Amino acid sequence: MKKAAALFADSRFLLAFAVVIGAAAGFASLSALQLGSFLVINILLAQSINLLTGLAGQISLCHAAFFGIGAYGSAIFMRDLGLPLPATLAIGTLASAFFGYLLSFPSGRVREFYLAMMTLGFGMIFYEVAKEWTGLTGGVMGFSDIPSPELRNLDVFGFPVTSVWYFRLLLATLLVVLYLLRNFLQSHYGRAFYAVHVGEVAAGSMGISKAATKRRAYALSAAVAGLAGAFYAHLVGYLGPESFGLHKSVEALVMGVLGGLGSLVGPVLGAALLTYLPDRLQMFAEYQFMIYGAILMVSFIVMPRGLAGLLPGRTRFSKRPARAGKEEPPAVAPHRFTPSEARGEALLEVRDVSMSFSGLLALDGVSLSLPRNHVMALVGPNGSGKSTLVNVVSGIYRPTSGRVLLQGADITGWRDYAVARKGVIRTFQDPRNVPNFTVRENILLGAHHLYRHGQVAAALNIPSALREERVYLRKVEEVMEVTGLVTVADEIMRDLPYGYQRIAEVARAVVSDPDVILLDEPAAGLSDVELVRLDRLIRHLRARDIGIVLIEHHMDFLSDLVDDVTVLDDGKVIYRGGMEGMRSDSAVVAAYLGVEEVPHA
Amino acid sequence: MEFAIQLVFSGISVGSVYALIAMGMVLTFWTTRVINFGHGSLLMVGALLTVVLGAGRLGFYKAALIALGITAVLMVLAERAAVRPLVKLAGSMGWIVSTLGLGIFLQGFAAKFFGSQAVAFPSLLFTNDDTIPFLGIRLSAQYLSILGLSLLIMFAMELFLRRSAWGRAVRAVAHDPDLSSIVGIPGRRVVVLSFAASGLLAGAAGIMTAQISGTIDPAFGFNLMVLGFVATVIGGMGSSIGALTGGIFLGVLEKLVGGYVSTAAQHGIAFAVLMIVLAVRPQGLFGKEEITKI
Amino acid sequence: MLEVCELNVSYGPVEAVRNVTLTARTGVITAILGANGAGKSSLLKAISGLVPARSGKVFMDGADITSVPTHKRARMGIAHALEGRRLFHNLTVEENLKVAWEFRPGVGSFEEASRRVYGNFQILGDRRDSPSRTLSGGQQQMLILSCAMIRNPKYLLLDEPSLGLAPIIVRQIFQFIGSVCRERGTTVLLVEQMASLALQVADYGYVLRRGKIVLKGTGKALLGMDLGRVLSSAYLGGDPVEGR
Repeated sequence: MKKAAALFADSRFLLAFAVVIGAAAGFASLSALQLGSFLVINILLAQSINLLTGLAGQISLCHAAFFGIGAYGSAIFMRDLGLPLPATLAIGTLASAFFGYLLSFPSGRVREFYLAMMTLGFGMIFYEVAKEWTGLTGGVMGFSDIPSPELRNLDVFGFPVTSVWYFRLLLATLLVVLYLLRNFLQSHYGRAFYAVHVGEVAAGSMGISKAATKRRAYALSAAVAGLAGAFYAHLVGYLGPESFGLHKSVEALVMGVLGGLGSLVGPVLGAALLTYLPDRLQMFAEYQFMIYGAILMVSFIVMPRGLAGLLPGRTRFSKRPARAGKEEPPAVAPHRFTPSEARGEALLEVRDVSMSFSGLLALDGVSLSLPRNHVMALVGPNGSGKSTLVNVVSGIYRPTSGRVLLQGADITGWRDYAVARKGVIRTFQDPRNVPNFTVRENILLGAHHLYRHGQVAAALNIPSALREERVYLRKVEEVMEVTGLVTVADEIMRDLPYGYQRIAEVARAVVSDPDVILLDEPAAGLSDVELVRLDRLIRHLRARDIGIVLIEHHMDFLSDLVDDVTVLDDGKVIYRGGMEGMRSDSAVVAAYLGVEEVPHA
Repeated sequence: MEFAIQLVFSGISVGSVYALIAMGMVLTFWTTRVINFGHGSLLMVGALLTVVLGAGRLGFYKAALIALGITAVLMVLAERAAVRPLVKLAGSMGWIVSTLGLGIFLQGFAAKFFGSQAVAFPSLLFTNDDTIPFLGIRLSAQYLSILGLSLLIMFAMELFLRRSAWGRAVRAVAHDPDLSSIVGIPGRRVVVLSFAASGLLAGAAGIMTAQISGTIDPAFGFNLMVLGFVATVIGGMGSSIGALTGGIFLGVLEKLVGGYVSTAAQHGIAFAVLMIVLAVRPQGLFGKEEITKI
Repeated sequence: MLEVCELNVSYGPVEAVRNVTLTARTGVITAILGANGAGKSSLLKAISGLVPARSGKVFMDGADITSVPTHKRARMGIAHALEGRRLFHNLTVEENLKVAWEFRPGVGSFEEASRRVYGNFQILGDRRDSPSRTLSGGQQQMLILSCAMIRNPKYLLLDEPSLGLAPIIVRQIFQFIGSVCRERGTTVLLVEQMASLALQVADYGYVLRRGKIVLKGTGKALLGMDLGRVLSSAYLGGDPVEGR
C-alpha cells in the first residue's frame, strides 16, 4: 500500500501510467470510455472545490454554478456561434473564473457562514437563470444538439474527435491541470492560500493580503470548475438546469470532503469513489442524498482528513528547487540605513496616538520612539493598552488620532499586510502557525512578501521561479540554524511542543527581513532552556540592526535583555527609562500597587 | 393602485413568515453561535409531516400540532448530532458542513420515503379564493390569517424572551455564556430549549409557507432558509424586531419586484439584497458592529 | 470554608496556577495579590468552575467540588464577580438582578431582594429600567456586586472590583464589601490591583508570583512589611522573594 502510494506520488510514474491508460483507451468499450471521461471531469471538479474550500478555506456551496457556467458557456459558443473546441473550452473557463472573481468581493468582509449562505444563494440564482432564460439556455426543455463525440459532429481543426480521443484529450488536460496546480500549491501563492485559511490576521502579519488571496482562490477555483463543465457539455451533448442544482454542489462538496480537503490526492480519491459507486450500485442512486448527508455530518469528526488522511505521505508545500547553478546572491539582504535615520530620526515613531472604541479610550496620546539595534520592553498592568498599541502599529486598527512613522514614512492607518511589507512584523500571544505545515514551510511563509515571481511563473515552474524559491529556502535554513530549529525542520508544526512553535513564529518574523519586530509575550509558557534560546535570538536580532519591541510580564526575563522600558497605564505612557529606575518610580509602583491610602507602618 | 396594495399586503404576509424563519435561525445562533444550515429541511419536514399524518384519521389540525412537536424534537436531536460535537473544532467549516449534511440527509430521506414529487398541501386556513373586504379592496383571507398567526407567534416569542425567566436566560447566554453559568444558569439546558423553540418556529413557518404555495416538495426548504437568512442580514441578528423588520422588508420587496419586473427577477432580488447589504453594512440595518478581538 | 489543594491550572502550555494551596476561612476576607500573569484570575475561575483544574482539588465546606460544573457551584453558594466589569449589557439593571436571582435557590421574593439592593445603591433603583450598558463604570460595579450578593452567597469571589474606577467610587465599593460581607458572614476572596487598599479591608492575604504563592500572612502583617519593596519585587521583578 505504501509502495503503491509512493509510486503514484512520483510524477514520472504518473505520466507513464497516464500514457498507458490513454493507449488502452483505444481498446475500451464505449461505456468504459464514458465512465472514464466522467471520472476525469469529476476529478477536475473535485480539485476545483478543494482549491477554494480545502486550501483557501472558503466554503463553497455553489460549485454547480461554476460548473454550469462553463458548460453552458462552451455549449452556446459552439452550437450557436460555431467556435471551435479549444476556444469554447477557454471561454467556458474564463466565464466561470469571472463569476468566481465577482463572488470573491463580499468574502473579504464577512464571516464564513455569511459566505456559505451567499454561495448557496448564488447557486440558486444560477439555477433560476438557467431555468428562466429560455432564449439562451433552452430553459427547462434543455439545451440540446451540443457537438459531441457521440453525435460524431465534434471536431478540432477539421479532425473528428471520437470518444476515444475525447477521453485522451480529457486525460491530457487533467495531467496539465494537475501539474500546474501542484506547482502553484508548492509556490508562495499556494502557501498563502493555506495561511489565509488557517488565520487571516496572522497571514496579514506576514504581508499576505487576504482579499487578494481570496480573489485569486475564487477565480482559480471557478476556472477549473468551468473547464470541467465545458468538457461535460460536450461529453453529454445535452444540458438541463436540473443537472446544476444544489445536489450537484453537494456532490462536489462531498467529493472534496470525503477525499480529503487540503491535499492534492484527496480530490482524486473522492471523485473516483463518487463516480464509481453510483455507476455500480443502483441502490446508491436511491439513497444518494441520504448518503451524502450522512458523510457530511460525520466526516469532520470521524475522518477530518478524508480518505487521503489514510494514506502515507503528505502534500508538499514548497518547490523542489533547481540544482545550484551559477553564483547566487547572498540570502541575507544587506542592511539599509535610510536617509531619515542618518538624520537621527527614529526607526519607528509613534506620535501622540489615541485609540478609542465606541467611546472607550484604550490609548491616550501615546508617544514613543524606537531606534535600530535596540530592544524596548512594553509593560503595564492589565488593560493598560499594550496589545492595542501593537495592533495600531501593525495596522490591525486605525488610530483615532496620531501618527505612526517608519523610517520617517507615515504608515498610519495602513493595512496590516502593507505594514508588514514595509518592514514591521509582529508575533501573537498564542503562536499562530499553520498547524499542518512543516516548520520549514511555516518559516518560509515569512518570506512571502519578498517573492517577485508571478502566478504564471509559479505554475509553470520556470527556472527563475525555482531559483527564487531556492534562495529563500536557503534563507530559512540560515534562520533555522540561528534559532536552533534545524533538527525539527521537517516536523509537522502541530506535533511539536509549544516552545518550538513559539520560536518558529519568531523565526518566521526574522525571515521577513524586518526593520521592526513586535513580540507579544513571547516568553509565556517557555521552559528555562527555551527562555535562554529566546534571549539569545533577541540579542542576535538586535545586532542585526533591527528594532525590537517586547511586550512582557516576565520581568526577570526582561531585566538583562532590554535597553529600556516603556510603561503604560490606562492607555498613557507613565514611564520611559531603564528597568532599575522603573522599579523605584513612584508612578509605576502606584500603577501596579495602587497608591490610594498608602498605609503608614 | 389596488395592484400595488395587494402586492404590499401579500408581501407583508409572506414576509411575516420569513420573519419566523429568521427568528428560528437567530435563536439558535444566540445560544451556540452556529447558523443551522439544516434549518430549511426542518421547515420542509414540518409541512410534510402535517400532510402525511393528516391524511389519516387525525385530521390536519391535530396533525399540524404533532408535526410541530416532532420538528421541535428533531431540532433538539440536530443540536446533539450536528452542532455540539463540531463547535469544539476550530473554525466554522465543521458545523457548516455538518448542519448542511443534516439538511441534505433529511431532504434525501423525505425524497426516498415520501417521493420527490411535489405534494399538494391542503387548505387549512380558508381557501385561495376567500377574501375579506377592507377599505374597498378584497384582501385574501388566507394571507390575512397567516399574517395574524405569524404576528401572534412572534409576539408570544417576545413575551417569552422578555417576561419569563428562561427567556431571560436565553438572552443572558446569548450575551455571555460564562457569566450565565456563574449566576447559575444551566447552559446546556438553555441551548436545548432554544433549539426546541427554533424547531417550533421552523415547523410553523414550513406549514404556513406550504399553505400559501399550495404544494411542498423535499427541496423547498433550502430556498426558504436562504430567504430567512437574508431577512436576518437585513434586520440584524440581535433582536426579534430585527427579524420581523427584515422579513417584512424582504417579503414586500420580493412581491413588488415580482409584480412590476418579473417572477425571475423576484427570485433574484433576495440574493442581490444579500450581496449589497454584505458589501455595504455587514452588520445589517439593526445590528451592531462587531469588534473582533485580536 | 473554601480550600484549594495543590491546584494546577494551565492554558495549553502556559501554567497559570502552580501547585497552589490556600484556605479562605469562613466569614473572613482574604486578599489575593500579584502582578499580571501571576494567576490570580485563573485561581478564582478554577474555584468557581469556569476553567478546569489540570490537577489538584477544590473543597467547599469539606466537599470536593473539583468536578462540579459552574452553574451547580453557583447554586451551591459561590458567587463570582468577574474582572473587566462583566455584566449582561443587553439586559436592563433590573433584568440583570432578576437573572442573578432566578437561577439560584434562596428565600424571599425578588421584590424584597431588589428593594434591599436599591436601598444600598439608590442610583440602581433610579435606573432600574435602563440598559446596563448605559451605566457608568462605578454604577456597573455596584450592579455587579449587587448581583453577586443578591442571594446571600456563602462565598464571594471578587476579581479586581476597583479597576478603572475613581477613588471615591472605590471607597464606596470597599465600604460595601467590608460592611455588608461582615454583616452577612460572607467569605470573601478578593483579587485586587490596589494591593494596599485590599490589605486594609482584608483579614488575610496571599501574594502570587508566576502562579505560585510567595508570601502569605495576616492583613496587618503584610501591611506592616516594607510594602513597596516586597510587593514591588513580586510585581516588577528584581530580587526574588522567599516563600514563607
